[in-house]
Order: sequence, then C-alpha cells, then structure tokens
Amino acid sequence: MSEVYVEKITKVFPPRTVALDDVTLLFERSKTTCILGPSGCGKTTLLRIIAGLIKPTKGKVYIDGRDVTNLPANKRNVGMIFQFAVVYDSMTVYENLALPLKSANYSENEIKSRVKEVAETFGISHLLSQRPVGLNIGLRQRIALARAIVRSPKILLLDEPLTNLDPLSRIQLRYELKRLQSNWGQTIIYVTHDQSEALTLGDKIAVMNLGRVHQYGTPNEIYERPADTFCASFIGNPCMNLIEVAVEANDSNVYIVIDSDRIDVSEFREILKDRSKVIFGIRPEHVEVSKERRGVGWFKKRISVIETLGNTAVLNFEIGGTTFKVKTELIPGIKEGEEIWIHFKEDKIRFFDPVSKKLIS
Amino acid sequence: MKENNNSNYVELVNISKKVRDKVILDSISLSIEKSSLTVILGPPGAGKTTLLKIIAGLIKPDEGKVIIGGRDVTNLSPKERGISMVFQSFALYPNMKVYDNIAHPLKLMHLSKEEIDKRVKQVASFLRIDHLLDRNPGLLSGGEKQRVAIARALVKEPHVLLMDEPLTNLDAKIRMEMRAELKKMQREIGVTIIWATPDPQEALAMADKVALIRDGKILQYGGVNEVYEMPRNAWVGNYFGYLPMNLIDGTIIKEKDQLILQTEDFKINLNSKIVDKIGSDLPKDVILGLRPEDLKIFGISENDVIINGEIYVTEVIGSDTIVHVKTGRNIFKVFLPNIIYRETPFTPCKIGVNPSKTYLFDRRTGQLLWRGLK
Repeated sequence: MSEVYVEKITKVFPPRTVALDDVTLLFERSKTTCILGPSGCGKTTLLRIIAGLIKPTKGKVYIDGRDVTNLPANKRNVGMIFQFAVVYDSMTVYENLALPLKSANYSENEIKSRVKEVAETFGISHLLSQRPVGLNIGLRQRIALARAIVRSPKILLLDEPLTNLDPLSRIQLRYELKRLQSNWGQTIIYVTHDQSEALTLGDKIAVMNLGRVHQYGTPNEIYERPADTFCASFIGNPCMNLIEVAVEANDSNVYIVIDSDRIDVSEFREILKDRSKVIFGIRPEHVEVSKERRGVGWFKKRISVIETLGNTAVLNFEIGGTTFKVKTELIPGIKEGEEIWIHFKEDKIRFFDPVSKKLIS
Repeated sequence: MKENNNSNYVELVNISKKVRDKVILDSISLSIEKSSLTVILGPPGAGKTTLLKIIAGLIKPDEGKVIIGGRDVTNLSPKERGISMVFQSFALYPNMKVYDNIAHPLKLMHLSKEEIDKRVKQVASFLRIDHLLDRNPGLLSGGEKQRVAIARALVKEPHVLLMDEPLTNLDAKIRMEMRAELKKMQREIGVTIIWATPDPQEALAMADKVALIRDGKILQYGGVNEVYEMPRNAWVGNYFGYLPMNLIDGTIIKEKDQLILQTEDFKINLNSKIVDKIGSDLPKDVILGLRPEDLKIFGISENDVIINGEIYVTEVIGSDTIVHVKTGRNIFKVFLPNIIYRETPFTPCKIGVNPSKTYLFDRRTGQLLWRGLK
C-alpha cells in the first residue's frame, strides 16, 4: 500500500484566492488520515491535488517517494468518492461495479468474483441485478463506495461521503466504514467538516483553516491538547469553552477572574505568573455540576438554555460574555432560569495566548 | 369565531394533500401551543415541507383547516396570516446588502423609513449580525447567512415562525452552536416556532413538543420526554433517540408458569403482569428495543440483565464512545457518554441492561406492548 507526501503545496485561484498556503503533510501507509475543517478551508482542493484533478501552483505530490505532481489522475492508482454519490441509473448495480474493471480490461471471471466480493462487503448483493433508480441516497453512496474500491486502489480519497445522508444512515455507514477500513488496508484520505467523523475514523487528523494546517496529530492529541483556539473551538461536541480572562497573582496564589468569581489556578503558576490576560479553555464534559456546593472552587451560575440529548444534557450559561456549555448526565428537576453550582476539573483546564491564540504549555 | 386560546394557538384539522395520485399528507391534526417550539421530525419525503407550506399558505390543502389564533386562515393568502418562513437554502438576495435584505419585507409593508431602520437594527443586534449590515450576503459564512435569513423572517414580528430544516445546510459545528442560540432567541421573544428536521438529535435538543411524521401521517405527538420515554411503536423508538435503538427479534414463551423472552442469543425472565398487556395467546413474536444510551458496559448493577458478547468495534468520539458488541447474530450499539474506551475486536464483553429501560414491541403491528421487563 502507498504512502502519500505533499510538500509545500500552495494553490492560488486567480485572481488572488489562496486556497492552500504552504501545506506539508505525510499520509501514512495503510492508515486513515482525516482532513478536517470548515467549508472553504481548502480541504477539498488538497484532496483534488492528490487525486491529480487539479495542479498545485507550487509544491510537489509524492506517492511512495515518486514525484507524481505532473502525472494525470488515471495513472495514480487512486480511487475517489465524492459527497454526491456518482451512480449510473441506466445500468444495473452489477454493471456499475463492473465498469471500472471493464475499462481496465479485467477478465470476465475476475470481474465476477471481484464484484461479488465487494457487493457482499457493502451489503448490496441483493441489489446487483436492479438499476439504482429510486434507491435511497444511503444505498447509492454504498454503491459508489463499492465501485471505488472494486479495483483495489492503493489510495482511497473520500470527500465528505456521508454529508448528504440522513442522520440515521450517516451513523450506520460511518460505523461500517470504521469496521471496513481495517480489512481494506488501503491508505485512506478522508475529507470532512464533521469532527465526530474525524475523531472516530481517523488514525490521524489534520485540522485546517483558511488554507493552512493548524494541527496534525492523533485524535487523542488533538482532543486533549488542541494546538490553538481554532482547533479547540472546532473539535468537541460541543466544542471547548474559551473565555478571555484577567490573571491576578500574589506571592502565594494565582487566580483567574471570570465575571465576579476568582478561581484559584495556582498549579498553573509557572505559565501564568507573568501574564495579565489569558484565554481560559475547558471542554463542556470537563465541568462538573451539582445542586449543592461540594467544596472550594465551586461557583453558582444561572442556566439559560437546556438541550437534552437522551440521558445526557447540555446546559448553557452566560459566562464571561460568551455562551458557556456544560455537558452532563441528565439531572432530574433542573430548569432553565435556575441557578446551579459548577466546577472546572483542574487537570483539564487549558490556557491559550490571547495574541497568538496558541496553546500555552 | 373561537376565543384565542394558548393551548391550541395553531390548529391543524384533518389536513390532507395529494399530488397527482400520491398521498403526501393524510389527515393530519395537530394543536400547537403559543410561544412553544414544536419540531416536526421525519425522514426525507415524509411530508414535512408540504405541511409547513400549507401552514404558511403557500400550498392549499385538499381537505382540512388551518386555524391560527382562533381564526380560520385556510383561505387567506400567506401575507394575511402573520407568519414568516425560513428555508433550508437561506434564499437571500445576492445583490442587496444585508441591511436591505432584512428591510425588504418591511418595505413591502410600506412602513416609514424610521420604523424600518429601528426594527432592522433591533433584530440585527439581537441576532448578533449588526456588524454585517453593510456587507453583501455572498461574502458571509453559512451560519451568518442563516442568521440573516432568520432576521429577515423575524423583522416582520410574526406570530408564528416556520423553519424548514434551517440548520441542514450548515457545517456540523455551526449546527450545534445555532441550536442553543435559536432556542434562547425563541424563549426571549416568545414567538411560536414550528421547525421541520430529519435530525433526531436536533429535535431532542430543541423541542418542547415533537411530532413524528412518516409517509404523510403523524405517528406520535407529545412532549419530548414523553415521546422519548414512551414511543408508541418500534419505528418511533428507533428514529427518536440520541442514537438509533437496538431492535432484537424475540418470542415470548411460557416455561413452567414463568414467562420468558427468548431471542436467538439470550433469554430474559419476564414479569407475569405482562400478560395483562399482551394477552395469553402465546408464543408471541415481539421486538425487544434497547436504547444505546441506556446500556452499560461499566458499572453493571446486580439488578441488571446481562447479555454476553464480544467487542466488534469501538468508536471513540472525543470524550464519548460508541461500542458495537456482537452477540451471536445481533450487533448491539452501546453509548458511553464521557468515557473513552478502546478495545480490540473479539474481546469478550458483558452488556448490562436496566430492566426498567427496555421496550417490547409487537412484531406484527410494531406497537409498544410493555415498558420495562421485570
């Protein structure tokens, strides 16, 4: 299987839209790498450059150490799947799957066995003799996926393949992809704006914004130690709470001031002592709540909105001029407009520089 | 004319609609409270948009009545109904500045310049887009565009705001943020919102009441907790939850006076009281429904029913994990909030089921038979 290396890729769309700005990334062999970012961050452009569908303005693309920057798409042994499933309604599902094999001059027997195998993998064997007309979008995307891997490309590029599915099919197909990726062994590059897809499917994640890579690491690294406030606010369900706060220090203690509360953060003394302002960050799931005060470091806040999610809930507060979210188990009897005690788990607090927005560690 | 009544502010009475010979809506009746947020939840093609358009007056029903604030508006034009609608596709005028986009409906109402200016600025500051008023919509992000579309709908000060999948075209992150923000807005201005979506998590997070719709029929309508706790049938139980329900085929049989739920992979003893509900005609084919968020892998208690299986795959999503557990023929989804759990496939694993958090559905009709097993 293949390794993909993109080196100092810049892409400018005339007159002066910089879609990619000096991007260097190594996509490891037989691993899944997710490129995660908001619409317009350049992720799809990067994928198309790897596929050979567009050329970079500057920089090089290597597959297994070989410079393929000027190689056309059909010579790269790359399979690609788009957000909108491309399926031919005039052919049966079997013919759809057989098409890439036919154009590559596979033998009739080889085609039969490969189509059969891949159809089984994607649970579409029962549809082979039908035409895809009228099939729901979840099934159509399965057919598109099956067709993309039927030639066993060494690299599989996926551009938001789950985005247009209804929520239930999305959860189902995400899980099937997760299950399948270990069996395929392909090098997969997966573009998405959905952080939950990236966290569950990626061995590694590249977080992008405005044409640049903000962080490249394992899901756990990115979740635990976001490199900057952009990554912190892009990952998480909901994302990390970020508040700019004043720092107050005396000889023995260091405090941050959030609204009218002073919170002792003396264990961060070393990184905070020379600062007057800092961005305080904590994830919604790392804030404890209680109807009673449970000790030092607890303070009282009014709940503005409750979003229930089955047996968990997201409580919204107005703190430090922002909407502050807390994810918790459903606490019986709490209501919007009421006050409740909250507490930050010390080991989960992160600080960011107010100017550079980078993680302070 | 009827009194203006808060508990049925918007009333739909036996609304039916066919297009050519296809039934789009089949005798829909709903009473919607004033100042509430009601979600119409259903898969694509269920009839959600048609229903909203009928309330708005953009489509006429073949049969039935639309009553708003005690007034029969079935034959009134959209303008006369005091309703605004926000569409999935935002639909802003690209060549008008944000300010003019928002002001547009007021100009059509021939309000004075001062009044228009006051209202536009008020609603823009409320939705935190006052800094965007001079821009062209083409340069805005998806979330900003949708806020402008909402501002334009609110500036008319409608009694009822209809929202047709307003978050569907937004990135996942913005979608999450907008939920709480729109709910807060609704609470503050007290407008009655009817909101259509295919996303059950959105409905759970936002709705006061939810109406499940499929194939043009309302399957269940009630408070969010009520429908979540007591889904009328297996389809509703499966669709309306944080994750889709685990549904396992089983049969209720009697062995020496003990009622037993027998599935391919495990057996569970049942409370004898269940006979009152299901009748004595045994064996009976049922579906056992278990919500992923009600199942446990850690902290299983003594009273829990145990199902043995092996790990199939674990999906860690930030701080949460969805564990897929294989038990013979079935694969169970278990949702572990605030737990990070990575485990190799085929590791043996026990699932704990709290007996009070189980659902039995009739396999033939799909109807809920019983809540809780023991």
